[in-house]
Amino acid sequence: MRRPKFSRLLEVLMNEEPDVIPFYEHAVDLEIIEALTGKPITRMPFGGDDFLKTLVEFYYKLGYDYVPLEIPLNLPLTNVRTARDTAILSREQRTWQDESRGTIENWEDFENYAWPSLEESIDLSSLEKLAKLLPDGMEIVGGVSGGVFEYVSWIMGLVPLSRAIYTDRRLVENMFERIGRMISKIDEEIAKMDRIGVLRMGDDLGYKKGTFIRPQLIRRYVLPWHKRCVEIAHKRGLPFILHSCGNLYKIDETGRSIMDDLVEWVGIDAKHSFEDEIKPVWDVKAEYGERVAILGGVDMDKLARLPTEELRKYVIEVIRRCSPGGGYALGSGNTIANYVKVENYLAMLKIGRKYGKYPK
Amino acid sequence: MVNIMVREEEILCKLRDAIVDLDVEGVQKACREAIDAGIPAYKAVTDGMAKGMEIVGEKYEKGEYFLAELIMAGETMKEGMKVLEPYLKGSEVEKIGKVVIGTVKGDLHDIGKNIVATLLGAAGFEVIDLGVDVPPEKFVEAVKHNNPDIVGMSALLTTTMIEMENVIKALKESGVRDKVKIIIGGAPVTKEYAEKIGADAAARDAIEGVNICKSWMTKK
Repeated sequence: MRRPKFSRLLEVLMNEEPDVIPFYEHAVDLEIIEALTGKPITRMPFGGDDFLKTLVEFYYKLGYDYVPLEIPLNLPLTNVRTARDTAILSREQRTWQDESRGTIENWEDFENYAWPSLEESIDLSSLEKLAKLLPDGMEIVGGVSGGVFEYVSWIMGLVPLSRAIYTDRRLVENMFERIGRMISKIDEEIAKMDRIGVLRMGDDLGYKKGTFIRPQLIRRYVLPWHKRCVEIAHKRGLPFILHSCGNLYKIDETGRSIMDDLVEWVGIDAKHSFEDEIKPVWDVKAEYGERVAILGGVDMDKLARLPTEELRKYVIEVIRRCSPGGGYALGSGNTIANYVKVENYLAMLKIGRKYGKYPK
Repeated sequence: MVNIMVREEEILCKLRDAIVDLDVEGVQKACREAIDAGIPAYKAVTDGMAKGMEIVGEKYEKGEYFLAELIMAGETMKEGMKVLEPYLKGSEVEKIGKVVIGTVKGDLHDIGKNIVATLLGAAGFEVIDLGVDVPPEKFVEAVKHNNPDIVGMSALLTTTMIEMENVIKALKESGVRDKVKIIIGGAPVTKEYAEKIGADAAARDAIEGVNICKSWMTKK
């Protein structure tokens, strides 16, 4: 078993080459953790002692150098729906965001919304508890569960948000301001906490073909808050990882892409979330790898559907093409979701242990 | 007579431009003007708003418009339709084809599917939208009942995408697979996957999907 050594991940985030290629996951679904530890974590209260111990056990045994933990904001949502979960390790019901309906759709909703105070907006006690449970060699990669754009689009619904961009810009501006301020204030608290080794944010900004909203609007309403969170991390000497799905590579009339701005203006230390259909991770590494660490990139769809033997060859190729120059950690392109084949996940890690060296 | 034609052309241009400019108030006003001027409601749709949707699609392809603009164009068109619907008579509008569309079982994501449905409607298709979380038997029933030219399926996740194969199997078992073209779309969908499960096409986005459907009808 690989002993945890957090400095490995730190070296990757500084674009260096540690002794071996470490593993990085943004998240592993609880059903997968349950299947691999045999502990009923899906039935344990989030953030309780047993939950956190199981989390630590899982990441420790599988060879990670950190434990990821994101805490959700206490922002009530009425625009969610459920459907039967069709995954291999089904959670019975999957929750879906209602994209056509928002909890806040207009100014009146905004004013009547039960906005929590900063203290009420999040409970960070599980990060405190986790810090006490961490074994030597591991640190916490922590943050708020969800990003600035995500929370705004979850609360408003993507359709009402799109509409408001054209009919009620004051509402849109106030939503981003409110959420951005809240998340950055919380990040200030998280960054001060014991055993936090990295600050991170997950903020999906797009899909296969591009960004959800105009890049100019992302630059105006979202990226300044990302930059603020990066500054908070850096002030404390912590690196900042951004997980963000979507095609962020399109050059627009400014001559730049959102990815360019994330790397050069926002100043993220590492980017996570890649999809072969958009741009294979090795192409992103080739283009941006000298300026930012690249994490993961083993395509989710391949993890979920490829026969294990084929997946092995593909993972070897990912390592071969992403490892030169350092600044790379192996993992999925998104999440080890409960519909990923467990045998493929384990095969990826096994290949990582066997071939996970940076070329000399 | 010439003045009337010029006036009609002006209003149709206003309708087109209101869609392109994503102008909800403008489209409602132009729709009312169209009705007051005696322009048939179907013409206001096909020669006005639908032309606007075509331009929106082109702008999206060129990278001038994004998903939010596609959504907003659909919303703008819906607002126009609210004004025109009482004046629309089904028989007046000649449809270029019929599409049964739905998001597969276990999946509640419907932004892409809704955009495709709106664009198909604007392109002259009759669209039977089965909604979300649609089981295979409902697709089969809709095909048998409506005799469409095309079946469209959408899914957001790899885990729900596999339901598309079940729908195709169910259509085969019911003996109606060969009566329809099948197109699939959604985040995890690829052309290879479409080929693997026996769909006729996979669309990378709504615009491509509509273009494929249009090309099928042209070839018929």
